[in-house]
Amino acid sequence: MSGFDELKDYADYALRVAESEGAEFCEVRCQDDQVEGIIIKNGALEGIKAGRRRGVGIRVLYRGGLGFSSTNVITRESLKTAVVRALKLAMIAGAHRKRNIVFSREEAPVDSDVIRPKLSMESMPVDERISFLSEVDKMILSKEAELKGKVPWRVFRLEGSITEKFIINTNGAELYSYVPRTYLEAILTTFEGPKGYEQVIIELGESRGFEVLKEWRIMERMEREVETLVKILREAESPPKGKLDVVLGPQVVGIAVHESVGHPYEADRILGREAAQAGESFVTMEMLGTRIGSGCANVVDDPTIPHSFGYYKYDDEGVRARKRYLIKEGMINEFLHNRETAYIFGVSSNAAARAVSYDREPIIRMANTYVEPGDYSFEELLEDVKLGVYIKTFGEWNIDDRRFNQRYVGKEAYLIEKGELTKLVSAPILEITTPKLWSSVDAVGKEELLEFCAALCGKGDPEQLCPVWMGGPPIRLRKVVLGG
Amino acid sequence: MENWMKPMDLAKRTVDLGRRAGVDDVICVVIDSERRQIRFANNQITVSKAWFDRTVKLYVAKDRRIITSEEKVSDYESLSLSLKRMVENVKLLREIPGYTSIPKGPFRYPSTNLYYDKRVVSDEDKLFESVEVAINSAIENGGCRVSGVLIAECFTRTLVSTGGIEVEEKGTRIAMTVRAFADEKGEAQGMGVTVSRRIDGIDPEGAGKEAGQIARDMLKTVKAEPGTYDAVLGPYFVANLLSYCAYLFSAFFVDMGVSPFVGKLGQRIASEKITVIDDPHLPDGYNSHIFDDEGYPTQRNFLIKEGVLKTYVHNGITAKKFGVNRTGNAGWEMPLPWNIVIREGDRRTEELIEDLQEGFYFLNTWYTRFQNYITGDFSTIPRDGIFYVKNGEIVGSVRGVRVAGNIIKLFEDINGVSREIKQVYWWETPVPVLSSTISVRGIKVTKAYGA
Repeated sequence: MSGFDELKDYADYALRVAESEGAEFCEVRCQDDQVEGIIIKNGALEGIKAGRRRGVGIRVLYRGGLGFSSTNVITRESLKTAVVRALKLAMIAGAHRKRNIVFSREEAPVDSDVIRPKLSMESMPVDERISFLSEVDKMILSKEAELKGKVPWRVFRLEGSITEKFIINTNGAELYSYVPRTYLEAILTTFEGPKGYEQVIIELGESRGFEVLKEWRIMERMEREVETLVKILREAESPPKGKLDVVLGPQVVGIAVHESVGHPYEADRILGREAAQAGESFVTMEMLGTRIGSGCANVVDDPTIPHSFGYYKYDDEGVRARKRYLIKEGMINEFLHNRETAYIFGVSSNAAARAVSYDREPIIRMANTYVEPGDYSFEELLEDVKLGVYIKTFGEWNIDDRRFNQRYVGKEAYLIEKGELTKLVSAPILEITTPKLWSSVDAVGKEELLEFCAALCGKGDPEQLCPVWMGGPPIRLRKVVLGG
Repeated sequence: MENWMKPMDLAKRTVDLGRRAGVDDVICVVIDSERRQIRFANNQITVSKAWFDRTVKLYVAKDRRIITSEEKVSDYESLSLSLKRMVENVKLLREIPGYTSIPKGPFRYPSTNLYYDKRVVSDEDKLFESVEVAINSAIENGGCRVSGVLIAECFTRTLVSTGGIEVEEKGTRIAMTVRAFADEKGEAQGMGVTVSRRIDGIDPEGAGKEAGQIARDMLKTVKAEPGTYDAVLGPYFVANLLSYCAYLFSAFFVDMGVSPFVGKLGQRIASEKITVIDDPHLPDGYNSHIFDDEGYPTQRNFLIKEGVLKTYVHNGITAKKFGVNRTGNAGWEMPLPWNIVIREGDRRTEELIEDLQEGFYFLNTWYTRFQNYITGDFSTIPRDGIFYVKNGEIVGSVRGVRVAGNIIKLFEDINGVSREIKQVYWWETPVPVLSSTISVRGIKVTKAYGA
């Protein structure tokens, strides 16, 4: 952590400059993100890349406008220039506004949150990481031979990172955090004669050190993925179309809650702030407290899950994080807020402001979004389905910019006949509106079926790829149209 | 941390340090960047931003082993520590298969006349005025709520390598996106984009007008059934698809099996009406550059010529792996095109629409996702102008549709290219495209259950 204490001194200096220049509010965030990544392609090292972003981001409210500036030139002169620049931009922006930007009043905590990795990047040197992934690749090759299949492309990207932050603001908050993260992406491609190619992308991530690599059981997982891809190519048949019961696996539930509940419940989208980029939301302020789902699925976003990929104790505006119920008993219960939107909605911030680097403004983001477990076993979810499809994982997906009309194309999917999984089906397409999806849920799997997957969610301009988890237990949708 | 060095001095000193540490090759790229951004929504500015920062990229090779870094750290002290760590780590690594040493210079770089205008960041009053002009123009032309972003940058990019290369380029660029909504619900949408390397090169009024008019035209709706239709795809739609394809043209992704262009070099992958060029020397190109990250001179490359796939884009290592020459597109890890250009056709956009008996005119799209990168099966969600055309005339707009298909088939089914071209760069088109309107046969249009 050498050098970071020095950076903190500069943060104090920048805050004093802002106060003396008359800022109505100022927040200074020193952030040092270090990452080391390797890529193994078909068993061979493709590249090693280290990265570091260390600097200071300054946000001010001044004369009704919001200004942000950042620099990684750490001198008193450059920080003073950055503060003055932010104030000037805020002032001009304020003059072009009809209504002043105001932040909600929040506590000003002084705290620190340090997560020490059990196996740090230094403790697992790069050559060990390469060996680890090379062994996984060897296993896939032996599986390839055993199955008499072809896995022509096997790509692994492993990243270890550390995010160190110090945030102070003119309300008196002073927060230090140190969070390690591990992220693995695997892309596997199989080939089978005239049927062509099948491909899967797997993402795993947690806010821990490399000790997590063992817990992820990567060997077993990749072995299973290869077996499945080969089987899909050899055995999968066309899926039935029309009105059917559909069971979604945890990965598909995860992408569905993230895209069709998490994003449209971001208050900045509801207010139109992202309209020119990722869009707005079909959800309006007035829809709070109204029915959106069947009542079977509660949807939660919770940054406080220990070791989760989207973990944080305080958000980047210094607000203490908590669990948030987005949908509760079928009703829209709460939106995701930062201090700006909380003020407009007349509530307190629920700590959704995140920035991925010193040079990005904090914006409203999800953390770990999931469907809360219900009380069905997997067998019970299937048992009275006469004809349906279990979409365990997905490949392609997308959703419109109001988060209303979405599509998930199954990757590993099975026909359900008389309550039993019978055979693999190929690329079933669920194209459905958000209200239809959530009002069709009639059963939710129990606690032990709950799973998360990791992702880097994109939002903002410049874009910020933010670590998140998404998941849930399997859920059942009654009589939805499967087609495409 | 009070040390501040000129970029060329910093790059030279860093490369010297690496050389003295006994490694075979070092490249140091220093990018000093000053940027401004103004974001707006609901007809008013939401935030204004300023950045001043230095990015240093380091490449170290020893005994056919390579390590790279990209650091947003400005001081020499930190960089020298990073370099020392890289020098120690590189010895621990394995040889890179297909290793090739960095290019040996010096080179003669293309004498382009890239536009340069520091006012893109210094004239802040003009930037704010441009935003106001765009908002007003969008409102005058039919928008009731207007959102958007203006981003401007002035940069110096310096490269020094042990291959005898010392080169520096300066650049400026500015881009504005305007998105208008003509209804409260936000379904009648339109977008306008304007891009240049000079502050006077952008047209905020025109971008606002385009966004407002499209949004207004979206107010009148008609019903259209899902099915297979002929379509005309506007320049923003085409730019989005080609910006995604920029990655798929990269030899890095081809080698990973993550591209539908795998194994198709020299083969027909598109209609013969289609020629796509990577042109880093466009005088007003948003991403024009004279050298790549290996210090190798950039060059114009035909990616698709009259429907035939001519080349992938390469850095030194991928070029060696594929047995071809460098194409001037390094990226140490991932080579990428600079500015994608569709060669203009001979039809007017109006003529392409008039030729449609029954079909869609899609002006923009987003969220393009592939089910399988090798096969190229994908879907994408049109936005900002979705019009139904009958007997060559627009009869109204349609809500909530999606286009699904195969990217190679779509390229093959192109039957017309407009002669009007437009430079496109925005949030969903990160690789700039000099784009055209195209007409295409038989694309699948779907709708969601419940819509």
